[in-house]
Amino acid sequence: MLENLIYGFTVAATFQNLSACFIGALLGTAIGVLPGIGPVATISLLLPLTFGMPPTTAIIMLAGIYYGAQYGGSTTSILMNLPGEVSSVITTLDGYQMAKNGQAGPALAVAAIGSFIAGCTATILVAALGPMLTAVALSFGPADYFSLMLLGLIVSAVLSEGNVVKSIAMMVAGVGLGLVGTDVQTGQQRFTFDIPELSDGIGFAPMAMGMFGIAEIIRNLEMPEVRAALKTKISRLWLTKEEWKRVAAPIARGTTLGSIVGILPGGGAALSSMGAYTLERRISRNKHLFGKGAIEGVAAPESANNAAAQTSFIPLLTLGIPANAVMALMVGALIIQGIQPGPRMIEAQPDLFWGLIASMWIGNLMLVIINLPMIGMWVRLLKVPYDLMYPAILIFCAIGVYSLNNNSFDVYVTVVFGFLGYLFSKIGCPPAPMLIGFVLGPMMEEHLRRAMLLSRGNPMVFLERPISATLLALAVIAVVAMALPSIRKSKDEALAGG
Amino acid sequence: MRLRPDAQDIFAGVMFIAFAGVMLYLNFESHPIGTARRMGSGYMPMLTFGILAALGVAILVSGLFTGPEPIGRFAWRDMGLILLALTVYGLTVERLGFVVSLALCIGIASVAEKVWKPLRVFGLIAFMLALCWVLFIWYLDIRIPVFPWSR
Amino acid sequence: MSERMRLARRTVLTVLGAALAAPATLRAQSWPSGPIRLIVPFAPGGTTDVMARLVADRLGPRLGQPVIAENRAGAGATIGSAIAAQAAPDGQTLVMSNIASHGIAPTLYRSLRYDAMKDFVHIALVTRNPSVMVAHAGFEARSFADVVRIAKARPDGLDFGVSGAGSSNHLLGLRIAQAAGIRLNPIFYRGAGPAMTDTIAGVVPLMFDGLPSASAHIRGGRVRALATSGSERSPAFPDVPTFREVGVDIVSYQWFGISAPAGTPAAIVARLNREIREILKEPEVVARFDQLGGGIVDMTPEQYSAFVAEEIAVWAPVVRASGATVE
Repeated sequence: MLENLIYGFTVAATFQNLSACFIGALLGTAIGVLPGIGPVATISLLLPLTFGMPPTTAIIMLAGIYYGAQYGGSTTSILMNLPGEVSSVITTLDGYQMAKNGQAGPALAVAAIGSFIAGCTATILVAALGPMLTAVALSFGPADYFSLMLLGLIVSAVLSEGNVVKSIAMMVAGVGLGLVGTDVQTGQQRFTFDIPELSDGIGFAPMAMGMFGIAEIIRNLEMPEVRAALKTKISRLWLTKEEWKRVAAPIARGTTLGSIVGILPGGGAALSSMGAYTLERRISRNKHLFGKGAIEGVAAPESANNAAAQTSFIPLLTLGIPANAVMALMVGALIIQGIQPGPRMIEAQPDLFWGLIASMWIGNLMLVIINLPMIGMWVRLLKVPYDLMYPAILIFCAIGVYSLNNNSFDVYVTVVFGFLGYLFSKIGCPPAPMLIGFVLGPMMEEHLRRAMLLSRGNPMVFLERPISATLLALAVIAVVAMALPSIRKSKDEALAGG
Repeated sequence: MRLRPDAQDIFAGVMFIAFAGVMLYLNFESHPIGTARRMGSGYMPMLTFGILAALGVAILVSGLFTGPEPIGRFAWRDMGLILLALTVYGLTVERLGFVVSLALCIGIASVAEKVWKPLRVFGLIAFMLALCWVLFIWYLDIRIPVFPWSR
Repeated sequence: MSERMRLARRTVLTVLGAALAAPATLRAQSWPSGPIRLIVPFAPGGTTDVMARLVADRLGPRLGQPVIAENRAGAGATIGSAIAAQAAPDGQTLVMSNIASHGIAPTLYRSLRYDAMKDFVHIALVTRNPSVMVAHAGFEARSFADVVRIAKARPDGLDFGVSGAGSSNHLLGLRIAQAAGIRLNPIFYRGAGPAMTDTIAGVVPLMFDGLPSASAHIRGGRVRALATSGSERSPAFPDVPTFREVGVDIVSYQWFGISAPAGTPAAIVARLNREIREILKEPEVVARFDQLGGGIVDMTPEQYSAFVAEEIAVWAPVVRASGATVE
């Protein structure tokens, strides 16, 4: 394996490939920081740049773009509360709070460092165990996926601060919104009101932009005094020794969790950052800081997210099957280059395979090189007067959301969720569980119905399969763990309230 | 327990119940429920919105006793202007092109600021036009009409 | 790479320049008066998108104006097609017509915003490819006859994976099952990728898929090809029989071509047809299509129109029998 990796580095480390990787990571970051433009949009916008390149260079550049876009998304989430994809939603929870506390610098730094460490570890994992890990992905049947999604939803219910019942209600409402669109099993239109744009469901990015970004702008306009405070706070750019100690273990745990969950096709990224965040919130010594700007709450999900980004290449490289929308675009890029990804790629195009693995590592390094010096610039961006800032954010959102499908409909969806996001904040309903339910709910339904069809209606399938049974047991434990403190709390409240 | 209404919880509870109610009605109107083995397209919505309605009731009932937590003032003007700016962008971008709709969007949004400073607003519009042109039209080549006569 | 980027920018600048000059050239009454847009009703990156771009890139220089592929995905390729149907019939807007939006959707969608025949003039068929029935590598059936035998022995038949309800492969599976007198239960997935994963893993024993997207998995030995839906064996897989050979008289292809809004002047249609057919004879294009698994067919506009009409007629009863309709 070492031999192969060295071979990979000799392929990737040519000047042409290194510069492709660097430019890719740079462009990816630059486009990815635009609100509303997540990794999928960034890659599809930049894809044409790679058409004229030799295959290895092209795919190395795309990998650079991907990592760059992902990190760019984290940057906007931390600075402006604008998540472009599910995993960034988790980052906003504590990242944006840190920025509000004047700690945008450390938040961005820890996101970069955590991503780098996770990326390095996961890359080695991909190189060493890639083909073996494919078996893990294939051993997950519909019943196992259902149980995994259920566990994910239950875990997400404890994500937010405040009223647990409201969080769960928001999550369930999110599942409900996720049902809008064409039913996968029957092709029937559900709750689409004859609007063709709704037949593919409500778009995630418009929904997230509206509920987080737009609602936040309205809240900031409403409270000018908060903005003033935000601006005058002077921020450190780097981590203190104390902070280093706090994030070491969360990064390690996040990396481990992300690497494993990332292998599973579908939902890997969402589940990994969410799982890592919840895990930290459960076991951290600084539980009370979570949701108010805990650095652990940025370190863990960012590490998990990036580890999952690496390992999600495994099904693509070994089976030729894309695990998510980003990987589907990668397949497209490979096909344009005349390459059919799959296990034969390792033998037929070793330079491409090992070059890509090596470039994953290089891409992560580039990310740190590009972004650590830029943290100062990003933080300074926060000092732009708000009367200039918010129209700029708004117009970026508008253009970004429109360009997703070249359709104004997505802009209107953003408007609706902008209103809802503002309303929710007034009545104490957290938006994050809604987005998570929205993403996981439809997948859960799909796997549930498929499992029941395949088992000929026998629900025992969920308990007979060891993976599924284990996950369901974990879900039960999570429910109990969640119920205990809230029961205790309500008792306390009852006593206090008399 | 003494009755101490919590406006936030009561509103949230009513909202969830209303949403679930409407969706359940639509669901029973148009989607077959099916059986557990062969679930129809209405099975999962029925479960989901059924649970949501129950949760809404729970929030509503507990909200009668956990208060008082008033719903803060609603910034109707700021919200209206921001959402209007976005809507106008969506309505005009295809017909009037990106230049006009960008200017309209920023122009409307800027009114939300307490003191309207024309020079700053026009400066911002000019700057954003240049930046977005370079970024989106020239560099990223997104397919969007630029001027009213481009289509 | 920098050269490539410059190239991309230059195209963009040309486009912008042309857009600025549009009012002047419109008066000149010449065609093409500006960049032509080719609406691709699928997401970027798929095989069909790649092939459409191949044609668009070569059509541009021949017409003296860039042809720009514009992805308008959604609702089973019907959103992009509806946009094209409403565009001005001046030859500046083209659309990638295909089996989903122009063959199946007319019957599948109860309220479609366009008429696949009346709202379009069909210019040229670009490519078509057969589908293939594959089995999980460890599944006991070695041939189509085995599948029939096993399916008849089981009261509830066999399951097969499909990429989506109402897709051509879903409907093909139902046609084959009916013709062979067996019961096949469709298990639906969000796209061909996840369905193929579960076929490789053995969650479902069988699957129907387009030959281009399945071919790598067949060659890699992860799934076994049982029969293809072409009128003759695929040159890429000479060992795999056709459905006709195994006793099911069904021939079916996935296809796409290029169409324009109805009312586009006949001279423009004729010119486009000529240019496209010449592009499809270029050795480089033939080689790339071979590699992607798409067969090339030579058709006049009249032949292509007749072909689309025939496809609508073929799929209508199948769609109705499947019970899959979309409001």
